[in-house]
Amino acid sequence: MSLSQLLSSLRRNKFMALLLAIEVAFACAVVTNALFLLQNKLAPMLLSDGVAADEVVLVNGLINFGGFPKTQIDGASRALQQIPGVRAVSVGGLPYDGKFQFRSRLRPEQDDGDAIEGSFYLHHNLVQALGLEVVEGRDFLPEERIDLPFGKIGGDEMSGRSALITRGLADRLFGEGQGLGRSVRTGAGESGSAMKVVGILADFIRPEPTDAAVAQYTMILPLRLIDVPILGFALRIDPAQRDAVIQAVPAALEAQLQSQAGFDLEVQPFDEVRDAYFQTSRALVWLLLTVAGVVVAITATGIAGLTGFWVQQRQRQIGIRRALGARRRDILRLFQAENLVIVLVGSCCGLALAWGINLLLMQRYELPRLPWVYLPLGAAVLFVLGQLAILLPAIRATRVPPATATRNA
Amino acid sequence: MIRMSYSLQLAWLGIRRNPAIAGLIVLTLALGVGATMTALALFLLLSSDPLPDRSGQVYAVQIDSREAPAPTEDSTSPEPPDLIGMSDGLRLLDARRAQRQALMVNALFSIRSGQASKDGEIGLMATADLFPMFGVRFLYGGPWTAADEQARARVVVISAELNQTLFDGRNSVGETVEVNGETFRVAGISARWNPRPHFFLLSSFVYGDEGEQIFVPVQTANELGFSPVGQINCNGRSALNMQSPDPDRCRWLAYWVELESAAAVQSYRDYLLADSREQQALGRFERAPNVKLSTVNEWLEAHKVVPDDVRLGVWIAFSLFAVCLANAAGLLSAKFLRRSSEIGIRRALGATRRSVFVQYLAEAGLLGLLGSVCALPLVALGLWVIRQQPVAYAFMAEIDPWLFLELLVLAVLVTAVVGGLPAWRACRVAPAIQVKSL
Repeated sequence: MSLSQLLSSLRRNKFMALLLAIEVAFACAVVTNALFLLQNKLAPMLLSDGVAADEVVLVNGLINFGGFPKTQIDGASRALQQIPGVRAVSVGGLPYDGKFQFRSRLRPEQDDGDAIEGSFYLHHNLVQALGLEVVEGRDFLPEERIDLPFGKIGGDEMSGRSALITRGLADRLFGEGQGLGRSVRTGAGESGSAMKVVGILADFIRPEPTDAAVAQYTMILPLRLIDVPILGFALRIDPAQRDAVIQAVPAALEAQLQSQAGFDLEVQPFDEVRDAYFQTSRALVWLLLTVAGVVVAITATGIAGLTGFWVQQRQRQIGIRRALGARRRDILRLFQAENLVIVLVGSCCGLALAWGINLLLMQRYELPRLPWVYLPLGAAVLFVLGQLAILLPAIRATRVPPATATRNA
Repeated sequence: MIRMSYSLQLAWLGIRRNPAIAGLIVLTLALGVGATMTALALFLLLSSDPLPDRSGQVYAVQIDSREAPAPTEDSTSPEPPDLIGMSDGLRLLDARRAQRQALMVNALFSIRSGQASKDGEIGLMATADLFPMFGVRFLYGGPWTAADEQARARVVVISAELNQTLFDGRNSVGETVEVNGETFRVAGISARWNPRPHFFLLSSFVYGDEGEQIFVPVQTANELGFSPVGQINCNGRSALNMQSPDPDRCRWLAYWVELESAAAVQSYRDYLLADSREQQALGRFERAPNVKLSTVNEWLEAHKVVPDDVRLGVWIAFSLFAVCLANAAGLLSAKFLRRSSEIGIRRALGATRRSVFVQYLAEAGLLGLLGSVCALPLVALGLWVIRQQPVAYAFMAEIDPWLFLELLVLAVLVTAVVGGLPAWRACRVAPAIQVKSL
């Protein structure tokens, strides 16, 4: 069957074709954007955070606006270390906790290229406490681990220190496979501090991994903060004794840290902290999945309903085709081809619409640009949807007997 | 009138003739309307004006008392800090250059009267203009006076709820209560007051289900060493000490003023600039004068009070609605045009195009109404799901009957308009061809 034949039949049913194309366009725009948002929310959840999750317990909620002195921090760390089943302890800011984190512009030393934003953790023993994997170089040496008073962050105290950075950050700053032994500089121009990379970590996420593309731009410095208003502890434990450790932590801390107000202490396995962090994201993922599902279902019934009506209208025409020698397969092909043309036209408009919606959303919210691969993807979804939706009415059309041509209706 | 009811009757017959398609249309519309109503209701609840009558003339005051930018600072932020220090606040307050002005910060209080007591109550340390400026109404008594503030008098205003706990709800003006161990006299009992969002101190909380229960003059509280709660920022190496913050170098208080005219706003801004210049000359301010006055709405907008996810939800819901409407229009067309021969006969028997159009429009509107009503349980379900979420505003996701009614009318109108296209197509059916093919 030729294309001009197909188009003329569509032209004679302009109204139906137009309605179908509009349905397809809206569905395409919505599904494309929903899938893109879905991927955006889902990506950080699927990222490897680099932590030996089942061996880690996190302690949060220790706040003292006057600052925790060194003696108290030492005492608390020692008390936690002595709980049976605890293998390593580290104190400082923790993953999946945005309350207390440090961010900075980072760039390679002796290079004025663009700086990228990264986060750093200030910890003595985080590699051991979280079970991070050092793929190149080494963990910090005892003499590199020093204490830093809270007020001196960002000052000269940080210059010349050792640093551990992730593979992702090293590759981005220094190029593929490079990085070990090089220096990272914070801040702009000649100010800021330079730190030497002594080890590369396989994976390790930033405290608030909201954007998957930059979630691995993480650095650890061997500095422990003292006189600091917020404390967090990471504990590496024997998984068999996890419940016992969680039970023992509050008593161990209370004996060491005096507080007038009492703490809102949270002692949780790593997985629970992670789950709680992603709870709103998960809700949004379900919402988007539901929306995409509803759009697909509604559009499918819409296309099926309209096509069914169309088949009924064209019984006689189909009968004539059959009488003139068209096989059942040809009738099926006819409807499939018609739907293909309509979906093609509708998708083109829909993709333009999708692009427009994305531009609008980009202006208002911190959303990246829609990658072009989503456009053929959205069209492909609608193509499959359209072909499936017309299958039933089209098969009904093939059953129209050729004798219909001789009847009056 | 008779024709209208005849149209409705025909419409109802039309719907009953093909209940499967009618059900599908109703379901499609209900989904779209339900999603839109849920998202819109939440958005409207969260973005409602906390000071409905006066939000246009109440302004947040920002002045830049930060230290000179450090050499390591990447970019100097043009935005002055949200909060100000005690010294700056008291100086602006004593100048009395606005119609009304108030300094405020949240704190937690322990209150006792005889046997009754309450611990950890959220309250405000504030100044007297706060009450008229923010529309706090009184059941008994009234605010304290400026003279009380000057004299560091020990007076409080307590909420009706707290009055219920402490004094069984009787008029307790003039009685004494113990606040954080100090004896205070009750000056007034405030009616329930809980602006949502908590616009004047967003750093304390954004959406609260209780509101402040006790108000203490900030000067008195400061002298007695009551500790504030909330956010604090300090210049230089000053400790972030919330128990007794440094009045000169730390910022932890909000400052709001009421200005009645554009001229008053301009002259107040000039005053603030002059004040900042003076402080700079005295060596207290290290940065160039940088002041800002924002109305309540500008303030809420700048602080992104309505979460992005909620705004995004409105977009998602509206696009879903568009998809549903397009499909409902498609199904309506199929449903109407299936009856082309019927239309042909009616037209041949003398029905005008207009009456055919009205009949099918009535059918579309009826289906729209059914769909919108069926959306009600979906909205209830949607808001219930939102209440289960771990977000601060979850408790606010309740159905407001008036809002629902407004949205219902809107939804029926929209579906009737969308139904107009198939109805128009139906009334254009040529009678001759249809009658011939019978």
